Amino acid sequence: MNNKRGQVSTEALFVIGAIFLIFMGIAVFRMEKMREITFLKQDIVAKNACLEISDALVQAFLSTGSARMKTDYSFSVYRQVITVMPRNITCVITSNVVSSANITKGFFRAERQGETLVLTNI
Amino acid sequence: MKITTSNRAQVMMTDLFIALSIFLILMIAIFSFMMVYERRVNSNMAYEDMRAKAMQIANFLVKSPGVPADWEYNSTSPQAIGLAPVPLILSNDKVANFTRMDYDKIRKTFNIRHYDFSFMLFDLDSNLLASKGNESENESVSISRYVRFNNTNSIMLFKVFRH
Repeated sequence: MNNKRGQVSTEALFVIGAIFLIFMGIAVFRMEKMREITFLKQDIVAKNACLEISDALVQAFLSTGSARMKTDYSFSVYRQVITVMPRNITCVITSNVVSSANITKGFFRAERQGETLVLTNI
Repeated sequence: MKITTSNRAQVMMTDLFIALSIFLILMIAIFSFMMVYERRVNSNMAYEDMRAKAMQIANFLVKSPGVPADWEYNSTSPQAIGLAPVPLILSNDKVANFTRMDYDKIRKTFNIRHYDFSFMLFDLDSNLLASKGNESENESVSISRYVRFNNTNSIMLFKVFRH
């Protein structure tokens, strides 16, 4: 009788061990997914910011003159591609009218000089 | 019913299989939901990108003469294409030159090499006055603007869609 009870307890231990391993696996997977979701959230926010910057620059060019703008992200413009830091999210400007620039987070000026929009940090 | 020791073990195994099956079905459901959600988020981001591009191009076409302003008379590729010497009033020469331009050259100028586009100009009776590009069944974003063309009120429709 004692012998049989010992066997049941080994099986129970095995099942508990297996369940524990499965839940450990799920926990690791969940942590990895949460990390991915956090990055994805940051990417979406940065992508929206990038599109807003791109829109604002084209509007500034069309409105002729100079505009003072604020950005929550540092970004660079090179060959009509805007790269938003720190995750290097990119988007394009649909008109080749913005000069290359590196703009740091905060206020900057967009000034139309002839056929080009020149960006400078303030 | 009296359950013997060996029968009890069989019952436990059946229980275990049912529990495992439910667990696996739940896991598969959760993972597939996560994958669908991720795909939907990416598709939404791509749509927003397309919308922003379509909006920018449509605004530039109807509010700017382009760069250089007389690009329609130059043989070199324009830096930026605009059709309106005066905001919202489209020039016949610019529209005519735009519709004659090479399709890929226009896409390159607009920086939309990963997308296709179609441009259409209608009068208010829906008669087609000018067009460029092809229609597609793919997901698209369409922007319309009221303009003056040939001294008549017209509607410009600019559509960007996936390849």
